[in-house]
Amino acid sequence: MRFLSLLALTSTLLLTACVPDIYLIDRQTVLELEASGQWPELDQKYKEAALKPGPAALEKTRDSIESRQIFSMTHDDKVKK
Amino acid sequence: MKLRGLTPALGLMLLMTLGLSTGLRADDKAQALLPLKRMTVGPYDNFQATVDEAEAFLYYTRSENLSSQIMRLNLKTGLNEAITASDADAKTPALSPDGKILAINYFKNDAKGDICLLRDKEIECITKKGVVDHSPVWLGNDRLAYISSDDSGRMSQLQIYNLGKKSTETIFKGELYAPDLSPDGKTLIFKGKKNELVLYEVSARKILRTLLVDLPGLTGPSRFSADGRYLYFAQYMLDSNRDLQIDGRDAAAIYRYDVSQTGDVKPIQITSLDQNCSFPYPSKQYLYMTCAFEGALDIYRGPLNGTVPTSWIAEDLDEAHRVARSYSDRILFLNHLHARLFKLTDAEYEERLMQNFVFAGEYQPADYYVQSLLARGPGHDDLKAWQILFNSYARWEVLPQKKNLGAFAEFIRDQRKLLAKLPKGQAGALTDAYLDFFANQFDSAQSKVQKLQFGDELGLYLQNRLAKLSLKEKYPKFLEARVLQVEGSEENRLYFLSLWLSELSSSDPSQAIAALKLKLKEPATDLLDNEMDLYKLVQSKNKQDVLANYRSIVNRVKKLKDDYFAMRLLFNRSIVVLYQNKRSRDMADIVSLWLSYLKRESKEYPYAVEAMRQNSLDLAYQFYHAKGPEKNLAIGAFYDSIRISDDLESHYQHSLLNLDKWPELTKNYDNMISQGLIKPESKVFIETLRRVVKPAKALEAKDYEEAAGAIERIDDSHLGIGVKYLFLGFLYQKQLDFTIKGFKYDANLAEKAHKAYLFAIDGALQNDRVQASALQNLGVLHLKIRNYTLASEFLTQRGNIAYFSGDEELAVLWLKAKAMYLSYRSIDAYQTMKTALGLNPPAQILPAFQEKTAFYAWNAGENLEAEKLFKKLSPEIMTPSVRLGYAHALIAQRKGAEAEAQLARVLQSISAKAKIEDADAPALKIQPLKLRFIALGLVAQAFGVDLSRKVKALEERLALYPTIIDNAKKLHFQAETLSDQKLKEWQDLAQLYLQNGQKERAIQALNRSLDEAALHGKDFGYLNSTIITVLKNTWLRSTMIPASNDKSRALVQALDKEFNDQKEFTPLVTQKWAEMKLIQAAFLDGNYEKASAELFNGKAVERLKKDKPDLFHNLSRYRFEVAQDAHTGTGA
Repeated sequence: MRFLSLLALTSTLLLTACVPDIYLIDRQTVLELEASGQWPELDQKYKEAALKPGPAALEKTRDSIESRQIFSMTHDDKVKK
Repeated sequence: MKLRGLTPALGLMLLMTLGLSTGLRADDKAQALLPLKRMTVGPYDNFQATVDEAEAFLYYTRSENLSSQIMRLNLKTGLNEAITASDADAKTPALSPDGKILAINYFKNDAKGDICLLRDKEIECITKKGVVDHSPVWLGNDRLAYISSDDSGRMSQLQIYNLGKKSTETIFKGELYAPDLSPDGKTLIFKGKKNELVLYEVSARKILRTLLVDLPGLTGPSRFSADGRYLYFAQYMLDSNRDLQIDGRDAAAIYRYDVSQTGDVKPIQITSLDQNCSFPYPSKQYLYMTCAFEGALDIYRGPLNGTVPTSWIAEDLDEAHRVARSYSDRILFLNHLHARLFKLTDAEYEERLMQNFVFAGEYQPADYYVQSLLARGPGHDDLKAWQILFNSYARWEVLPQKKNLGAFAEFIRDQRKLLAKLPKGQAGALTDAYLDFFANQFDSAQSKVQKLQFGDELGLYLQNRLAKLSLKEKYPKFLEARVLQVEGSEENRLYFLSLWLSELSSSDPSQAIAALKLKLKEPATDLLDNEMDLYKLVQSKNKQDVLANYRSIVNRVKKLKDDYFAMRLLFNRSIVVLYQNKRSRDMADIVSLWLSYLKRESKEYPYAVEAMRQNSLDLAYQFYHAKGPEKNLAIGAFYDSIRISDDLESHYQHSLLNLDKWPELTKNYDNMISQGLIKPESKVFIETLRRVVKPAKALEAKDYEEAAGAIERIDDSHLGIGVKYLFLGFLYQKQLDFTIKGFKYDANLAEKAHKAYLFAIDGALQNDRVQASALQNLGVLHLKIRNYTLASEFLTQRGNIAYFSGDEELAVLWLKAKAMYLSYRSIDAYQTMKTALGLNPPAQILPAFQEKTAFYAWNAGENLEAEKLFKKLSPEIMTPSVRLGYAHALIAQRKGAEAEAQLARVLQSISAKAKIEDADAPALKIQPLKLRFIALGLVAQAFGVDLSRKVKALEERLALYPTIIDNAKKLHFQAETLSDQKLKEWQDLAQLYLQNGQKERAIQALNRSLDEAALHGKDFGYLNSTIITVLKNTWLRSTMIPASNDKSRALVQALDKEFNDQKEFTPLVTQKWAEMKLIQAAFLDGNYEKASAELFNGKAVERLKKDKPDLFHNLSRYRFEVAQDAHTGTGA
């Protein structure tokens, strides 16, 4: 979109070093704001839903039991006498 | 309270088991190898650790996107910081003993590398440019040793730099790498030729001793221990990248020599080859090292004496060897039996190691030990044949890389010649069959392998492997005919039986088992009976039959209880078969039975506990989502796991399922603590969890901080440690949320959360449930802190694991698409949303998914798909912003009329006098006037829109410019871009007027563009492509739209001045400027011949000709084309 471009914004000066905060608002963010719908509640709901304090209660996992090392047998490293 | 929901019969069996388990602790690690602790996390490579005397800081090298920096990790706070700038590579940190100066290998001023000293932020380089300088090591606080090498790295000098005198002296020349100094400062160690470690006396300047490392592969850098007694080094042994060479990119184990002994010392293995660790750095307390896990390098630390407990005596090692599940662990145990306890002769050790490497499929180190065994004396023709086989196998394995197929064929021919020289024998015959197989002569290989009959067990193993590779469906019959009846150790007989059993089909195995049973003897026949019982059990429809078959298994266990390998196979098969047939509850009983027959102090016990834990979790999750009484099965299984293993994952889920029975639950926890079944910290864990997931009031940052403090104190040896770090990361992330203000956030908390999640993944490598949550959390974390590339990466990895529910999958896909789009991967964003739409989102959220899919589709260039999706949206979804997106997709398809219809709705809904609202950076706000401004621009440029409509739109848009420019920041525009755009649009308007038959207005507009260009030049400089284009267009159109020559002359004079005042001509600018001058000459000045000749003889174009002949060539062609136009009368 030719009317949009990267924008460097400056805001209030930091008290410590008098260096301005530089914010780079990227093209994609601005474009999404101005040429797409806004779904802030869904965004927030999904961010909250995806954030987990503990393990997901998945019934199916990728490791098949037969591939678990704990259930493997070994070959003897016998020494010829 | 009834926490456990098992049926009475099964419950009784478990009770029996649990009764036997009373008094068990969660300190099973003492019976197993000691763990390593991860200190750093990716996704970047972290390596080359060094710590200060107090072990407060860890310095290391981080490699990220092909550049490396020195990092410092505060070991108390866990926070990291880069201490070298990212604009130059730095590596190999070495801290002076007083901790004041960090010597580094630095590449800012010398691509070959300098040695530099870092004091606070000051960097002082002490070496000269143009020489390869590396490997700094301190000799006290005043002197620094390092190596200067030639470019090949073979000829090196050991230099010592004196900090006080600022002078350098060379103390050794020759082949040397990676030096270190003994703590007393007297002895240097460095790697010499091949696998030599050279001890060098600094004061006398002579070699004290050379240790020839008798291990396969390549010896890496070595380090003295803090007391100077040991020398730690990495030995790269496995060709893990399968390039047929062992080098620093391959898998390594750490060893150490006791250099206080002067006799024939043997290296003691410190880490297992599976851990793949190198770059040892022994401090006073720990051994720091770099280990490659899951594809990235990270720093770990472990005990100085290694992962094998020092308390283990020969009996422990024998037992650990017997119960080991990996050959790399067996190699480790054999090393301790041989080198530490002297229980094996050299020949025994070498033969057993050779076999273990063969079993692990690592033929290069196996070949090393074959050579050692051959060197012990004559009479090993079978070994010579195996050597040919191992070499050939190693090369055949890399063939899928399709490299050097001709060379491989040649190699096989040579191996056949070598084999032909050996006396005939079984080993030679099998090697011959393998060579046929490698040469794609499959029929011959199949025929030969089936005819051989080995009594020798290594031969039998190798024959079996070829049979498995070549015979396919005939393989089980081969096992019956050639392998299963062979007398051998019980471990081997049952190993092969396990292979046969794993080949059994899931349909009725009675006939196959009965037929084989006739050929075998106990305990193999018992295990075949067991297989039948299992089959009957899984076929059983009623409880009585289940119980009858179960009792039969219990009786068999009683019979075989003293036969370790028979018991192991019995339980392995029982668990696998029952799991495959979804008999989780029966499987739980079998695991309990296994535990009940094991001694608590046996080394098999931790494996059974782990099996129990895994099984309980599998069972629990199967019923986790059940409604009604079956849910109790989940609760019961988590509870069983807690009592046996004290596993944090089980604590987590069990307590969540019992939040409404809290007083009873905590009382129960007190009982388990008093019985010694669980650690007190497990109760802290669930209490903290409850405070967070079921808070009495809304939680504040300090509540999360407090909770994090409690969880941090949980010991890392606790089983299920991944869950600790997952919860901890969550708590940090919740704290982080309170700090986010606009674009600002607490970077330390973000780092702590990121790190905790990666520790969680590391602590739960085979655990999809922990990984799924950790990856989701990482995705959300990085989305929030606008690290979109990482967010999309983690959410993509999350997609490899199953989802808890459709809603959860939709949530993850929504976030992933967003991250993809924001990291400039619109095609991936669109594909992700297409997947989400395929999941049929519920009606209330469907429009959101359709709209976003349409928007991403347009961004991905899928305009037709975008249009179809936009069309499905209901009017209330069609906000002005959405209509703009839709119009873009239509314009891209040259559907101007449809686009104009959408844009007209935008213009109708937004007043031309809409107010611009305040929006201080970095707030993002939709500004209706900007949308109107954009819509007007789109109308003006759309194909197929009525000319007068376009003129009107552009007139209004140009009239809006002053307001837009005044509010550029609020509208997320750059003033320069707007100014640039404005003058282009004045030219566009001139063209539209002309097309519309309004010549006077066209002239006015073109003159206005010149005025705007002059203003633009004044504000932002004249020498830019827009002004050049404006001038060229003005002159080229001069016959149709005669604009003011005075204005264009004034403008070009300003532009020429700026061009000629440049310190240096840049080729592209020169080309564009010269093109403009050609147009000026032809169309404005009318002196083309003379002016173009002068131009091409001028300084700037001459320079272009020299620097960029291709651009000069283009310019020359342009000159020719302009000349043609000028002569055909288009010009002046």
